[in-house]
Amino acid sequence: MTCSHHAVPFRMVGKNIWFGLSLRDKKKWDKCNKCKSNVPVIILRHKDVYCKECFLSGAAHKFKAFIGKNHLVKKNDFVLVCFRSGHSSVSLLHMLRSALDLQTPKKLKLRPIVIYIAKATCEPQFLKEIEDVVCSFNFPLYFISFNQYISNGQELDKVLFANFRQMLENYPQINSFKRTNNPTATQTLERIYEQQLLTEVAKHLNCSIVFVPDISLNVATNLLTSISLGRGAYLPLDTGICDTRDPQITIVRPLRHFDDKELAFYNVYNKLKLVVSPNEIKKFNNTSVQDLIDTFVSNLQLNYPATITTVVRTGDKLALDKTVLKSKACNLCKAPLLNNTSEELNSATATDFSRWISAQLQIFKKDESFNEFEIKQRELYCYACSKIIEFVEK
Amino acid sequence: MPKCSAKCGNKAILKRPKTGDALCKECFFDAFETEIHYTITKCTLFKPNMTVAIAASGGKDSTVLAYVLKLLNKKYNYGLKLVLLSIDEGITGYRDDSLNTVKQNRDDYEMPLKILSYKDLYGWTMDEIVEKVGRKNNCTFCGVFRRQALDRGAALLKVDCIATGHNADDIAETVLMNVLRGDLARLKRCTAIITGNGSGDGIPRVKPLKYTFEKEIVMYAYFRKLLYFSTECVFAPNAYRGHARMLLKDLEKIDPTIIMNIIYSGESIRVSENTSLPSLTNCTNCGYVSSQQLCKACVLLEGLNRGLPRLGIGKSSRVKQILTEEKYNNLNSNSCVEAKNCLCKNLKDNSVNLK
Repeated sequence: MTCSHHAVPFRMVGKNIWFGLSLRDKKKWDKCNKCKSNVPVIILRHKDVYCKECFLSGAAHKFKAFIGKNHLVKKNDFVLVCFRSGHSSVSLLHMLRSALDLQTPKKLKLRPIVIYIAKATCEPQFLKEIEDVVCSFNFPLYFISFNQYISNGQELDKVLFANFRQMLENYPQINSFKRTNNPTATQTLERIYEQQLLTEVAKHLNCSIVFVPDISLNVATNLLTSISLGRGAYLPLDTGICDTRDPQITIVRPLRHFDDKELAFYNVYNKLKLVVSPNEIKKFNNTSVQDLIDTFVSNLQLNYPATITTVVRTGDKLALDKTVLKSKACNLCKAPLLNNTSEELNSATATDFSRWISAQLQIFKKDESFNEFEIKQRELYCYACSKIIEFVEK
Repeated sequence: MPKCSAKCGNKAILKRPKTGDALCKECFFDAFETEIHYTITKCTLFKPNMTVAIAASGGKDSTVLAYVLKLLNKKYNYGLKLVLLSIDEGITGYRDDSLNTVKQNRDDYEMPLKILSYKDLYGWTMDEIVEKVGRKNNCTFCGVFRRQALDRGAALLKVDCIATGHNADDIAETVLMNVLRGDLARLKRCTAIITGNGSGDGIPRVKPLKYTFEKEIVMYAYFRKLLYFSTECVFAPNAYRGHARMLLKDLEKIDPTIIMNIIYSGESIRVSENTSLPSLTNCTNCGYVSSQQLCKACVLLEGLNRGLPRLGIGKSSRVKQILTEEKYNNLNSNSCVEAKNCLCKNLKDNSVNLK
């Protein structure tokens, strides 16, 4: 889910950054951590201070290194860049543009196409702002309405617009995305469909890569959400460096090691205009797993500042089980299905057993054997999606 | 009230949080016990003629575990010899009262009971430790010491395995906590139902209540009228685990089956092959299984005995550095060369860079 509740940049520049620090810290921090000469303007990770130049070059380097190190793009690939409200997308476009315009051998060689997915009601003013900012970076831009995609997704030609005015003319008044009566299931479905949309549009526009602007907080939240929904095996896909569940399209999260403060300052120092949807300031009432975990992570981060990075780095070190790579894909989330071997007991089988014994106690009592209990193989949907689908069918 | 889902004809008395089924009292007892029986047989937790120590604290989990194991052992002829093993941490207002409950269990279930105390094993009670360490991080001491104390007790009683009362909520909480702390090694093994049977000479530990919800354990104890002690440890509220616990409780309110989801996630998580995890060795000081040269218990104890109670809290590389520095200092001054038990003598690695 997009997250932009830290949308307002901190006006903490120059000498104000020392506010509330002890004299000892001041002394330790009076020179930039990197160049050791300039006056620092930003503290990252609660301990490292940088001057403006070192901070900006560091951020740009982190972005390029991430793309280079993970061998994500081939020369001149088309890359679909998902635009979202908030700091992250503007930073992402700026980093891309700067890396493309380099005149050194480190120049990035790829061809970005930006897409904005319009959800719920859309203010023309806001769409205009998106158009302006994307044009200022000189990238092609497409608009698509989430609702239109859900109702008429087979014909992408008819729902993908290069101009937002055309999209608004065809904008459906009714919300065709059927919300379930379960907020967690609704948000999960929305995420799955959004990912599906990006994959299909990428194929349509001949892109092999999709960049999504997930920052560290999003990755940490998604990781804990996935765990809570029983998607532990799929963490490398759901929240890892890149999502390879589609054989043709790879979804990449190039901002996963950036936090909101870093990007807010990046935008401020590069004098970039922030684009925030008026509808996107969320009120969390914690009725869904996603919202609850978002609040939890943000709060824990206040007292334990390493929380988000720790969770993200933990996610970096996980891998998909090799034995499932050839398995059939789940009909909903398209992740490979896990084999449920009958030798080992797992939580899914234990739950199935609880359900069986609660209904078939009389059968069990006849001969006190478990022969009647069959271990369920999930053939259509993965463990997590089989629970989500129950709500849809209701 | 609806009818019992098990079609016995009686009125249901409770709704199972795990599945949503409504059951009557008798069917709940049967379902609850059969599930544990299924877990035990399916995972081959025990073999006939084993002596099993039940780690008993007097709380609901261990009381229900002792009761159910005794019942199943008789009903299905497991052929087990069951004993109770308790650790007295020396926490006034908590453990002293709960131990009385364990003693009552000993008489009620006719099982022998062995109590080991921190005072005897380590020379410190938790009360004394907290006095030195403060209210933060004290659970680190208690947890590390208890783990080793249970092993020592099990060795004394010559048992084949230890059964602990960890329930589904505990496991889910541990999965969340290990993710939040980034502890991959523990994340990998925390959902295993049998631990310590592979490498090392530790005594295997099993968790027969791994898939049993805490809520159902409480209901079972209540309807069976089991006697248990239900006060939270007086030192627990400040532990980091509390955050994971709070998250789990909030998630449970949204949907109780999330507990099973988290365990499922924990069971199916795979750590990338090119990630190096600490390999288990034995402590050079006490021989107990450890991922470091010196096990945590030895380091914490050394810290306490030297008046550096925070020695073992935080990075283990720092401990090594402090101890190696001291070793060199001592070599020059000969001050602790005579002292036989000095921990620094057992530190093999001299490669730490000394400035």
